[in-house]
Amino acid sequence: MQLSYANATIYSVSISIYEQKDKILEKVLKTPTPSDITIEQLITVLKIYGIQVVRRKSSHVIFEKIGGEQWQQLVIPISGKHIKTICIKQVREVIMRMIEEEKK
Amino acid sequence: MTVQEKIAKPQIDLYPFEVRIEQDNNAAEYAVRFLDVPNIIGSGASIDEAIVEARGNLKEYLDYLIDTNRDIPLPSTDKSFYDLSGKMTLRVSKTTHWKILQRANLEGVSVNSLLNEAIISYLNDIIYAKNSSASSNSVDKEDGFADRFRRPISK
Repeated sequence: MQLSYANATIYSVSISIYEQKDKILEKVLKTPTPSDITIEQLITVLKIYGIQVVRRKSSHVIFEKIGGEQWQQLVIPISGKHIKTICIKQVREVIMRMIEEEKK
Repeated sequence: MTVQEKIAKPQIDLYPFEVRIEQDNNAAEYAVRFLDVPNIIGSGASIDEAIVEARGNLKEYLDYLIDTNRDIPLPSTDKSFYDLSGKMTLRVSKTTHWKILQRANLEGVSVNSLLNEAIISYLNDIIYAKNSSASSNSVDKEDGFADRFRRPISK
């Protein structure tokens, strides 16, 4: 009984995480580009597509899809709490291209 | 320094780039993208700001590639660059020569500095004009690079 309660809790937490990820993804893909996206949100979104942080400094974060191509490598400058809209656009372009290539 | 070492650490300012005006949220900003490294971009409220950011991003990227022993994309001007001496003889008419001397005197700079500034401004103009022809927004018109070339060069 206790085990099934624990399973249900894990299940609901998982759903909640997925919902959060979906919301962030929706936000990144939305136009006009939102200007209140944080680097942590970007990390979450890119992780869905297998693009991960390979180097992190206070000024820049470098993302890469391991075994991927050059266009799947991103350098995001950090200046303040939110990411510049041009970088969000670039992330959006990469995600859209990956979706297109998956369809092929 | 061997050629291999020079190629391993190419100068950031050798990478050609294009400038665009990006519009979103009713705001416009300049965006710089490198022609040989299109995944690296930068943006800013002014062209200079965008170039500085883009070059900073490019430097981080190249450092990362070097640190992870990866091939680095060379600037398209790079291969022949190291063979150049940086010295050249220029033949001009006497009138042009006289104008150059007059202008250099007026500005209080050497002929070499004056011509350097003029040539760099002119070449930048070409890059921006080339980009602006692909976009409906003219960077050249908005930033007045062509005008800067025509204005007296400030000390």
